[in-house]
Amino acid sequence: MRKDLVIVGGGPAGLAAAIAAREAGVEDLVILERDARLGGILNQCIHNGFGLHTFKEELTGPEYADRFVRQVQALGIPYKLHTMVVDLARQGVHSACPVLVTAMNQKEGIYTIEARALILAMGCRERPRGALNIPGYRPAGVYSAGTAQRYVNMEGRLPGREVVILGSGDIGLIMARRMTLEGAKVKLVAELMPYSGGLKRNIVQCLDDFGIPLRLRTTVVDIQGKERVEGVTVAQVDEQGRPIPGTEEEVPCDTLLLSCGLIPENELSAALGVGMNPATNGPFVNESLETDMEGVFACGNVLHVHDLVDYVSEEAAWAGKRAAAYLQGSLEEGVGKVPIRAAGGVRYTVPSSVDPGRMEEEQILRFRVGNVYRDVCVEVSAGGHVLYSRRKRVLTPGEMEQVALKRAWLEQIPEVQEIVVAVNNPAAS
Amino acid sequence: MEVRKATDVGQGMEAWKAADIGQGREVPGTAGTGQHMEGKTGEDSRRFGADPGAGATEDGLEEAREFVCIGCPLGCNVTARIREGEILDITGNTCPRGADYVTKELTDPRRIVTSLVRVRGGVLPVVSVKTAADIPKGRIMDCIRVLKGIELQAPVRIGDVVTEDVCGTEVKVVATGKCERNEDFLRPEKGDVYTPSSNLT
Repeated sequence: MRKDLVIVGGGPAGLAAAIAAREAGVEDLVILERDARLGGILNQCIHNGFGLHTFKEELTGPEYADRFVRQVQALGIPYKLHTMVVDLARQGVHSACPVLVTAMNQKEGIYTIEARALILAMGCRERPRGALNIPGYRPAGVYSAGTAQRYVNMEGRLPGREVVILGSGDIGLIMARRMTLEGAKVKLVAELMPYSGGLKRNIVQCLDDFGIPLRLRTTVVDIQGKERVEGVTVAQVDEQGRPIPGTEEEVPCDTLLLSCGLIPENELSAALGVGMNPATNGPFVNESLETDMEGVFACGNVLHVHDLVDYVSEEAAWAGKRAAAYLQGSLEEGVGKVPIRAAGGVRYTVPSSVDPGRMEEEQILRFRVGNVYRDVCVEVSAGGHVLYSRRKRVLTPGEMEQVALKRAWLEQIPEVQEIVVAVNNPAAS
Repeated sequence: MEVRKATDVGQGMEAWKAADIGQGREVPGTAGTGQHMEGKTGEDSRRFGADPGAGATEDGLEEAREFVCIGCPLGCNVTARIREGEILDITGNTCPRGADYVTKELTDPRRIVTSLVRVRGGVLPVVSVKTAADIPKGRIMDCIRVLKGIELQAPVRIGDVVTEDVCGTEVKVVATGKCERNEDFLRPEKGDVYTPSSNLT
């Protein structure tokens, strides 16, 4: 089988990319989704707060997903459910279809699709217990927060009644509230860092509203119980994140939820051999969200982990539009790639390079900082010229930031070698 | 869609321990009025960068209270100056919703509630729901208890009204997810075989 465009993943990124590609004129495309329905992780995110930017109203996850699924259906975009992509491989450089997609499902078995263009939209996974080095046995009752979310919100099962949550990522905060509303007692949320990894609003409405304590600079150093979790030991940590002897405290519980970060799911991207950014665990992409392999685009949480689905949709729509331009041969002639360097507290930017010849009037640069900063300036500069500077009252690693880079700024500077995005006067607090 | 009271709420989620919910310590954003402002703990003040008593005038009657607006994910830090229960001014918000939020938090704090109700004959045993508007914060657990007693019959569509008036708040509860009938969803001839365990990966 041949397709002009294959989209791997039918979550928010894949859906928005597919819609944008079809609207830009791509007829021959398909979305491959491994779950029983489209919408991805949104289907288990039953809390509200989605869509404020996109739809100017506050939707829940399933409602937000449904808006996009309806568009996909209205546009007649083909999709395959229960279909797992197991491999992506490069075909010869002279092939009209540079990517060979190997997928499988119950009905068709294993089959291949030759793709002229590909959009990576596989999303991300939760960091598992095995990556956290917590000693102890392997009793039942240790779940990643997203697994617990799936059990509670979709399968109608409560994983436990007395809960400790390690990590203050957004899913952990949301699950603190969900478990409480479902009748469990959430004893505390422990966060290794001196700041929360989640959105401020989630601390207010998920923890404070229910009197759930957030213990910063605290981690779980032991899990008790052999068959089932019987309790955990929490301890304070020092500046280096090492537990401080003598601060241990036993907390009886039957469940430990882990909300310790999300990792873009890039096994397939790695198989394809696209260049990966160690700061994001996602591919390096240019202004068109194209990886270093021509015709292969990436968007959403597989590219870098987002806080807001609205930005995933926006980013994915851009990837879909650019993939369409690539297929139609209408990607502008570039004038040369300008790398974007993240400096002074900025951990990374997406995209990591722009070609001024291919930019639109405005290019959104998204980034995260590596620490909490107060009363600083976000600065974009090139060739010694400050192009943009904006004061920020607070920047935190838990909240993605963005600036709109204007093409006009770059046109003023001859021979732009590099664009630098930095936090100015970064006095960590 | 048929709505009826459930006699059997099923396994796993029937226990309700509401007593200790929403009555915890005083935190930014939970005080009903300006009179309860002293209750902030040191932990809260560290987290929100607010110094208890910061901004208090010498007569001790004027006080600054810090809020994190939950109107949207920006989470603006908003400060309200209050004197004898009167709001003097509100600063730090980047849109009018921030001022509305803080005014409401000081007078009538409200929340949209999202939860689940049980479904009979559906492809999944539960469907997600929300209050169509925000309800008083103190009524959250009452609302949840009412929802626990409701069971819907599949199919459920997004927007279906689950109850017209939850707990006398005059606020509707609507379905936010869909739940197809089990027999409609199983379409093996199309390769769409659904088993819950196949989706857990």
